[in-house]
Amino acid sequence: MSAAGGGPSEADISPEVLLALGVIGGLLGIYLSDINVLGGVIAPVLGSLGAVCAIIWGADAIRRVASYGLGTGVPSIGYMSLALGIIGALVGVALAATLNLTIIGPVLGLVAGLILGAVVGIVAKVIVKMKIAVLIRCTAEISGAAALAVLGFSSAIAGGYGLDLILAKVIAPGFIALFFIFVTMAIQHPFNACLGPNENQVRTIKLAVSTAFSVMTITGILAIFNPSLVYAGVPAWLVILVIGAIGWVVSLKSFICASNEAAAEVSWNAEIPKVEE
Amino acid sequence: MDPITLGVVALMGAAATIAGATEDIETDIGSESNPNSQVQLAPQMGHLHRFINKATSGEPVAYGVWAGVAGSVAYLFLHLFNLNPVIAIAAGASVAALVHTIYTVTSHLGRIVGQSQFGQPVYWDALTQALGPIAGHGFIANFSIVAVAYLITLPIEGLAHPFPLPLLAVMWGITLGAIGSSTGDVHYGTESEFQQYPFGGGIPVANHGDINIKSSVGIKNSIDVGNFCAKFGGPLTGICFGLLVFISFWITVIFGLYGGLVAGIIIVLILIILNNRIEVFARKTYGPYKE
Amino acid sequence: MVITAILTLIIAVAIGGILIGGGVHFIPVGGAPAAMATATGVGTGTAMLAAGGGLTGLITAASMTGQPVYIVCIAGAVGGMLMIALTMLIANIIYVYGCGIVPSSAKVEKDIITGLDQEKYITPGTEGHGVPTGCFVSGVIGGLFGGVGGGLVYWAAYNALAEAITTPILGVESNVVIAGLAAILGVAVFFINAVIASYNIGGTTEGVHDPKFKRLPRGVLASGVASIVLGIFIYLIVGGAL
Repeated sequence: MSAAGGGPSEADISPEVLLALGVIGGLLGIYLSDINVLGGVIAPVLGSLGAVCAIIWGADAIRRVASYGLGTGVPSIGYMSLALGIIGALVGVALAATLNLTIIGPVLGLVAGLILGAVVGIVAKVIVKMKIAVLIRCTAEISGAAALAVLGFSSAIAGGYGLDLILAKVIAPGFIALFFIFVTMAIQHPFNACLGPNENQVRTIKLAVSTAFSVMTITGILAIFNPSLVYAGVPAWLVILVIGAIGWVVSLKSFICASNEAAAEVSWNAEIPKVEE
Repeated sequence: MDPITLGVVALMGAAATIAGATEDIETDIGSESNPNSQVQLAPQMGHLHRFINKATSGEPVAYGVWAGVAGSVAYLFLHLFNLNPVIAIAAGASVAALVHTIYTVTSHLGRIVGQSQFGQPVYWDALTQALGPIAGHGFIANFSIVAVAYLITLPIEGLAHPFPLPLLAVMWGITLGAIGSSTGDVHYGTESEFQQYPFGGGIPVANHGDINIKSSVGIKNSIDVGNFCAKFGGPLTGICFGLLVFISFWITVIFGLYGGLVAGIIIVLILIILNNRIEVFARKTYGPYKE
Repeated sequence: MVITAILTLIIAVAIGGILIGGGVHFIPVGGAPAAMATATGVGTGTAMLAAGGGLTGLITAASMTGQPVYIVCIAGAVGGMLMIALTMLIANIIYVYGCGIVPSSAKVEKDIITGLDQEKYITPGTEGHGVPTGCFVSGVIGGLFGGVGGGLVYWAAYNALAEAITTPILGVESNVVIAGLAAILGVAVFFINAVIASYNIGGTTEGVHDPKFKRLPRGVLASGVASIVLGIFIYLIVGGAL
């Protein structure tokens, strides 16, 4: 995999805006995902929409750090941060259970993810002597986004963010492993797929929206595992699936249109133009 | 030794072999992983091409995702609706094929447009004609990976793995991706992409990006790559993954707990000697490099 | 949880992390250039190949769940070594029979194990190609360490959780929950240390004879520090599940 190299990339949307979207949208979605708050159908949908916000934030953070060229390709920082984020998310809900304060779980998860990301970022910078200025901040951001995304999708399946729910509905069936690898893909794919001298932030973010909704769509299918989430005869999984699929199709279409516009040439013919030597 | 367990282990080995072969052919058609650096470089070197540029992360993460989706959906159908395992796994692999196809389109568009200043057009016909083979090979690979994961969890003596099916599917998917990108891709990167250079040598850095864009008839496309690699790189990747899955469980089934671990270490020593024999064979047969 | 159990968990995760991070330094990977036979080693990324070996080790280690720690670790080592060894062997078969290449390295004059000359077998303009015996043995050692490390982390997490979770959770058997949670923690610790190690060697290495191998102490220190922190956080998870 050729890493991008080069240096800081231009951005039309500032990192702070996307950070705010991820943190506020992510936490809000997860908090509203508790079925006791908003009924059995809307709640899981909001939980997964929160996770979508977190993925978009994470994808932008990957873009900022990987445009420096890590020497190991874009995906590596993705799955490392997801591993940190999953441990962070689990620490959050577990600590909240220990303290008997379920409500602080998601915030603790985010904080634990940020701390773990920062620790590994510091290790990479101080001990391994990596020379990337934004490494600590971006590793922390991606890990935090990962923690929120995993918690959001998990709470959509489990119907809440209590430790017992997550253990029984997400970890015991092994769905946590899918979230680990699929959210890795969703966060690192947008920049990894679009990198190159003509990479453009808006197009990359469009792809990030699409990858985030792809995870939501699959989460919708997996939410069938929890049939108790029904409201007025409509199962929650169907709503997650339909909204996820609509979001996926719309964002995909907008990404394809943007790509066709930015392409050097769009062709349906089996013919190669002559190149000037 | 339980003959039924042994039969299941053999079936796992067979499924893994199919998974390995189709995974490698799929990633050669899609041009995923390391040899894709050449497809990526070609437009800068003045070679406009009609290959797929599928930079869907490395193969391990990609196959972790596809197999994970297939395994999770299959697990759902198995446990909730008590469906026949074959149908449940096929349903899972179908969902995975859909995800796989869409990620293929986005990564191809992303990378080609990301370097549009070199004039590389987006050939939609080249992309769409390769999607079928990519999704098809991916389906077979994912079906087989999830089948391996399912067989390991069967509650029979000597197997009955404690991990849940989706977790095992993700882990085997990542492992197969690592094997596929390490073995079969070499045949694509060293031979198929550089067919115009003589056989018998590495590719000097100076020739990087100078890939072969013509096939025996017309302009070379990704399907031609699949046809090429299906003859050697693909099957060997299958043998590699098949042997791995088979040996890692066969040893404890045949030799018991302690004997199995000793047998495993002995097999590793045999592999070291085998590798040395191959190295010596190459040195004797080919001799030092001649211009 | 008594203090010795807490210390066992944190120390086991730290040692496991160090073994994983150290093991990655042994695995010969040439990155993208190796896929075009432009560099010695296996044609993929460090963390990728290590992950494949480590996860195979984790699967074989977990099939020994309930056995004493040394059995779990040896089972992990066998799985890790088998995966790395088979991958390198088949890769070499493709290099030799598919591409007509003699395995050789440009970083040493003579192979560190067989003592065979390397230089005249190298294609001009490349840094070597294939997996010569020295790299192969180094890779097997890397698989050994990675497998033992992964097995150790899984064993420690499983045992700590088995003490903490004793009753079914929402109708799900406790051993199912424990295995799932221990597995994902093992996978997470593995990936984190593998990536830290691959940062340290800058993506590619040929194993013990590579000049980059001198960075091993630094990598071990980095993995150790990160893994102690991870061990403490994992203890918080186990403590919460009590």
